[in-house]
Amino acid sequence: MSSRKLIVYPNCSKGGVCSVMRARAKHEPGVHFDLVFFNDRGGAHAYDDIDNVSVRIVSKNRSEAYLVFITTHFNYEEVSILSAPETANTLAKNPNLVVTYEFHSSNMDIVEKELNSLDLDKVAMFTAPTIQMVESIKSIMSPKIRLRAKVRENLVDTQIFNSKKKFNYFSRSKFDCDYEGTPLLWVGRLDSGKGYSYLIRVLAMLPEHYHAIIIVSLEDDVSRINNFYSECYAMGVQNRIRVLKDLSQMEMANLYTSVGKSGGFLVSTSLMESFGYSVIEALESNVKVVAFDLPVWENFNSYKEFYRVPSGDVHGMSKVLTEMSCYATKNEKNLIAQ
Amino acid sequence: MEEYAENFEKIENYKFNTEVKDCKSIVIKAKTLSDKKSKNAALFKIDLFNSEGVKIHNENWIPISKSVGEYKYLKSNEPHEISTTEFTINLPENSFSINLSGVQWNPEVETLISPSICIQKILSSSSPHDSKGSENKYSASEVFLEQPLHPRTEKVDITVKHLSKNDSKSPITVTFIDSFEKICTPPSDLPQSPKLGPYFYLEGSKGNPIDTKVSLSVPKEARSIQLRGADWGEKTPLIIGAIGIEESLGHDESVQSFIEEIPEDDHLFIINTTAPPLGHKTLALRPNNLSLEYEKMGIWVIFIPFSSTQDQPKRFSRKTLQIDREEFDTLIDHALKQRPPQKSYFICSSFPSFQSLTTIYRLKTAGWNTVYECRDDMEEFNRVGYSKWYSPALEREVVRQADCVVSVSLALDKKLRTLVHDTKNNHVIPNAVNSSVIESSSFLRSKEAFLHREKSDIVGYVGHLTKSWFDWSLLIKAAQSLPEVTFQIVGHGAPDNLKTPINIQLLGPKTHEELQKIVCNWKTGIIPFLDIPLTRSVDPNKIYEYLAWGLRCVSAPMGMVERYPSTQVYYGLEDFKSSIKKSLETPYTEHEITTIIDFVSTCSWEDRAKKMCKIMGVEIKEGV
Repeated sequence: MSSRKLIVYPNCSKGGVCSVMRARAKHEPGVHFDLVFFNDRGGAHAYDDIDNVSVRIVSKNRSEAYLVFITTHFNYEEVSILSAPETANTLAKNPNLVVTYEFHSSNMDIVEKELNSLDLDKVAMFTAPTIQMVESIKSIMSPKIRLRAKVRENLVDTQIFNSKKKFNYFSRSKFDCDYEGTPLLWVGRLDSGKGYSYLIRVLAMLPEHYHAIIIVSLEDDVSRINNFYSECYAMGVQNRIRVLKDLSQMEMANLYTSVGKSGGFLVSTSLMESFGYSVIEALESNVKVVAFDLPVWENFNSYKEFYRVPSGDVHGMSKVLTEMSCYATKNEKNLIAQ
Repeated sequence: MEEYAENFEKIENYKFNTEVKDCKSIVIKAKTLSDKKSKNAALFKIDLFNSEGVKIHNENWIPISKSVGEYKYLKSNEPHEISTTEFTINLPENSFSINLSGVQWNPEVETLISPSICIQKILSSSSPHDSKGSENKYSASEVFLEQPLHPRTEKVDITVKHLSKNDSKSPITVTFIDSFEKICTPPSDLPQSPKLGPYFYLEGSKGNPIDTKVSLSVPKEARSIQLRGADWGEKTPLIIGAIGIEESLGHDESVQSFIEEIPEDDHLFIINTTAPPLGHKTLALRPNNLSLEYEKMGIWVIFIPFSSTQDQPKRFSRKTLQIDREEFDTLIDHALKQRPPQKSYFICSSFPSFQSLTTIYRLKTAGWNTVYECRDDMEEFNRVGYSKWYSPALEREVVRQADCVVSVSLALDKKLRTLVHDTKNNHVIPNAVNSSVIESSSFLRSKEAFLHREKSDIVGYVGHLTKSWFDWSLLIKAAQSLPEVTFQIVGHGAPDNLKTPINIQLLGPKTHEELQKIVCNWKTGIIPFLDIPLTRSVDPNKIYEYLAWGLRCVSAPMGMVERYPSTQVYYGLEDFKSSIKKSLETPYTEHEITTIIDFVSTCSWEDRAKKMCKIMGVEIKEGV
């Protein structure tokens, strides 16, 4: 294995960036990937099954010396920095390194802040996973550097996320709803940008057999968790939600398959999305997806079972979820339609 | 010998070969054990070869025998005890490979050897040992060694013995090499230099030799480790003897292999708790005590203490493993893959965190059994600045989702019912005391012991002394008002700058053995806690110990203590003083002594473990 690539990202978790890195490494088995993180957020073992990946978690205060050492002692074909402009600036000083800065956040305030912190002249390229994101980023860039902004598509690991799996995630479950209900899968963070409160409102509008399975990874702020449960109790759906944390990619794949087979949906209430990994992974796993409409969903137009409603349209989303359900009764569909 | 048979092999079957090209010397470290004490029971036959495979003579090597050629006797300690033999071979220039063959020299002795012997290849010219085997001193700048690593090694502990010429600080750099002889991506758990990479310092001042110890994780692709010194001018210390590199298998492997060991029909309890690790001499809470009892009942236990296992063994006993919290996800992943759910239990012991809650949801989805064991009012701990992870919303959900809920007192059970009104599978199983304490302190409940303390004017306390719940003000005022009474206080955590009257004696922490010699002179055990929600709901462990030691008790209102024998509950200072006086002045009766003895006999952790299993629906095999 002669070729080597370096990716630096602050948080080592099992979230979206983990999907990005795993898919890249699996796509290029002949390249060795050094993944360097600053904080351990439960994802250190997420790459154990991939031989061409080395994971290192280096504390932020040691990271500069560490990265300078490895970039002068190993020959990197490419260095990608995500969400760490200071690190990009340090490494970009080395004229022998091709430093790419990748934007994976859909929050334009964050993107602008990172752009303002970057030594733009020394960064070789700026990338984002969709054309929509690249256009948005270009709009806040100076004309001089716009030419260096490119799309770098995220890859989906279809070896794991596909519709051929036979696993039943719910076969031994102690939750009655897993045998007779309609699961709504929701993946994200418990922050306002991901719109979890819309999911709770949608669930409250739907018949009792709909229940939500919420998947989080980087989540340990007690006040956010309190807010989430307060909202669930306020809307009377506390008995119809379940939160799972830090699932491996394989477990996620099994869950998608089983949700699909149960006639369930992936629900995306996100108000900003740079790519939408959970949406594409669900679609690849044959799960119907209902989402608040966003520009990036244009990229998934080819999927038949992808339903989009205007952002924030709780009624519209509830209606689609009822109409598209195999199990909702005619009466239930009529009630929601009213 | 049988217990090692699986991991050790007979010395006469042992053969080892390794390449030593470019090495100036090698250090060999082997672990053996013999069934009889015999000075020269076994040896290594040493054969060196050049690059053409021709045997060469090592002129530097002294022990040569006519029958085996160059050899080294292996050390032997007491029978069945592991001995370590460490020696250095200085190599001729044309050395290419070395063979080691085990020989059972004394046929009346059986010698076994651990197959994972440690070979350190010294690439610099300094040899760690001289020709007589004594430790050499050599400059740290000359350190350049390589040690092969087992493919499953995930951690190494490095020990360097060094002597400083003056105040010094000199680096040793660390490099891992993969199976293709290429440098691995460097380790990240050491200080980093942009020029040298990862390193650790040998620090010391002029004088005695110092052992510098460093632990670091090993990359999965690493097959050997290299250590290299640097010339740091006058600050460069001298190294004494060989550098120690001990390998240990990774966490993931231990968790996985432990779960694989468990037969499908056996029960597994995973206990996620705020308690300290198993094995601490003086700190053992309910989960620690119950774990030991569960194992006695044939149940396998994986114990997750609050933060880490500290310096306690991970494989605590045959059926009990304890892990660091950072391994939590790995554990759950393996447990879900490998365990049948019907006989698998997750016990959240007073740790209703978001991690516990999401794990309960996840395990219930996989058909596991889940239990919430409530030992303390965590909301109150949170209020006084502990348990930052706590939220009533999380505890409410844990109560709602767990298959059954166990509280240690009626007060805690009541509190949980205020969080969730319609709970159904709730139980109260109080705390207890170790059977060993009950048995070893039976003499303290004898007639002679009661007679001995009949006239005693000593009362005492054993436990934590934090001002968050220990009522120092009450104790000091009581002691000032009762100068004829001695207050002996055992434990740690007392506030700094405490001014106590002469009749309060702070004795510091004590072991159970030490305590028995102290408490035999006490008549009364006291629990002078602040009357706050934090203390009111707790079932204090110490009251069971006090009663096992044959003491009367004077306690703040807590848990169900008013129901226990020879116990007076006080409300305020005057009540505290009069309760103490009454407990010291009232003569014992036969009935009181019998009641204490009978009560203690029902208060073992064994009894509590059986009750826990009963409510969890765990059937214990007969005869376990």
